[in-house]
Amino acid sequence: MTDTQIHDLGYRSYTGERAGVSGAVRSLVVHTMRRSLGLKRPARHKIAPALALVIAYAPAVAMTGFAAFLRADFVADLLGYGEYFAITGLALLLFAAVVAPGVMTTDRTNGMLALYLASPLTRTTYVFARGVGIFLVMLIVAVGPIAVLILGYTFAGIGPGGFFEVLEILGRACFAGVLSAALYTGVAMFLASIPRRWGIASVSIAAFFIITAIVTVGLTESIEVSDWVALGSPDEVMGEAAERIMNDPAFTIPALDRLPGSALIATAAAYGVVALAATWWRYQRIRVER
Amino acid sequence: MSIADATRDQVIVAAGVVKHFGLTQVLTGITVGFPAGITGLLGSNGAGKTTFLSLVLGVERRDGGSLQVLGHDPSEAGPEVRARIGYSPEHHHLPDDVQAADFVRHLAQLHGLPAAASTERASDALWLVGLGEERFRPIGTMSTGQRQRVKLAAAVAHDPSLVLLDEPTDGLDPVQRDSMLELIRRIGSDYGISIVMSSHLLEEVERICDHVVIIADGTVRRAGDLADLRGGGSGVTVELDDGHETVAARLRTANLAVERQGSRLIVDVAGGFAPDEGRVRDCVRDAVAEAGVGLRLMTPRTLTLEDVFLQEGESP
Repeated sequence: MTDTQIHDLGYRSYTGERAGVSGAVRSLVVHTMRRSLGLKRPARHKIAPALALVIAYAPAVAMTGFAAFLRADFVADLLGYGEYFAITGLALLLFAAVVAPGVMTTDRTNGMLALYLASPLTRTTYVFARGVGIFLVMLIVAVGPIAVLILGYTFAGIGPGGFFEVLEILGRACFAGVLSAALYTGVAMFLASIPRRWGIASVSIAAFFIITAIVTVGLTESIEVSDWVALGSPDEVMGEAAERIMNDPAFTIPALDRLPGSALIATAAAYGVVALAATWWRYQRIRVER
Repeated sequence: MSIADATRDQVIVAAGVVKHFGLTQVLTGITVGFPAGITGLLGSNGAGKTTFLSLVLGVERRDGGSLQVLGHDPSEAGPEVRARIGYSPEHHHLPDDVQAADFVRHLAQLHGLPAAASTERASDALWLVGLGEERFRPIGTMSTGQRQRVKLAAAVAHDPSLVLLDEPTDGLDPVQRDSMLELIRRIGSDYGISIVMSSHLLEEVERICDHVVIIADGTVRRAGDLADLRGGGSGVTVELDDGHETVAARLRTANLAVERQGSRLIVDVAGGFAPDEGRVRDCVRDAVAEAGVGLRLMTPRTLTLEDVFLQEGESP
């Protein structure tokens, strides 16, 4: 009699459970999040997400420390909740321009799209899974820092007064964060679905947000056009919509200031939804290299 | 037909399958069955092999005809069919910065395996293809031969019922090619996984496949067991010590067609007459006896796949 056991059984049949389409989608969502954050990837792929997280979180952490140290109301006036969305907007723009194309375009150039579509995923579930993954990473940037700021101010005694007020302002922050994450995710995915090269997609996304902002601000402030033209800048619309949702007006362009809040929120949502629908449409037509 | 029945019988059944891209008709009516085992899908570049595999996977929609893969129509039950298929594409592009083990595990998970099982099976599959020691290397540092093996490991890690290999030896040197073909043969025979291997190389299909489907100009030219196709030649093959021309001349006077191939003569009934191998053998025996030369071999003529191709007027 011997205690020897053979552990290496080699390749053999698999008789366990198979998760089907839902398992494939779940797996790709997790993969997207890991890839977006640069996890298990070389150091150069960690720079952009790390920078975006620092941009998003550092002011919130710094202001929280400042508020805890001084415990003075004027600290909250230095950086309000509405204003903070201008900071997270910058981090979201970085994510949108660098990280989203890094996920979408490389699938087409490194042959992974062909392999994904040879799995239980379809073109629709592929776009859905990639979209959810990018959206969830965007949420870390869009909701996390503002939540840190709200809770920091609250514990320092300069935030909302009671428990329900804290819940209400956190709810508003979540709503604004979801809206902005959806907008940046949708626009970034659509623009990344057009070229095959990561660099071209990154420049296109950054240029789209920046140029539309410059053009609409220029048009509405230098020549007399309708205020509604200002809705042509998704970045400005989202910033103004977030301030309205947070009930914390800050520096805005006058044309957007004169538009109703519901129109701003609906426009921001429409940017996200239409861009995601366009991404889906685009991926139904992409020829896959096999 | 259930998946089990299909696996026992025919893994792919196509009837009049048509596919076009714009005005280009790529498949003009594929009608063929792929039995369990290793089947070579043979055709020249551009014959429609990859398009047919795309239809089998359900990632392209056919424009006509019917198709059953593992008992399902892939255009209606694509995800269910693809969950039981392993696929190795023709291209060599793979994510460079990803470790082989992570790549194979990720694809196993996409095919529905839980995380722990995927990790374990990815490791097993990489050992199976001879990359056990290399499994934590980034794919970008691997040779073309190793990448082909990684693709094969990813295709079999989730224990599929059917594996589609698109030009699996493309880019390999002769030694690597032999090794890859041996590996494919082993996966098909030892593990009972049905394999469809697309190739434009006759020799490798001839070496490892049980069945062959020959596609040309978007349609099936020949299909069947390799042994049947190769046994389809009429006449006899004769191998002599010497005196080839003398024997050939005598046979021609007996109204037989004779072709010399090295030390061998291929003897058949001349144009238009029904093959009568008994008469052909008698004539060969008499001619050899009259010429007084040594007869090494006389056997029913078998065809190479090249012969089959040439009979169809198609060059590989």
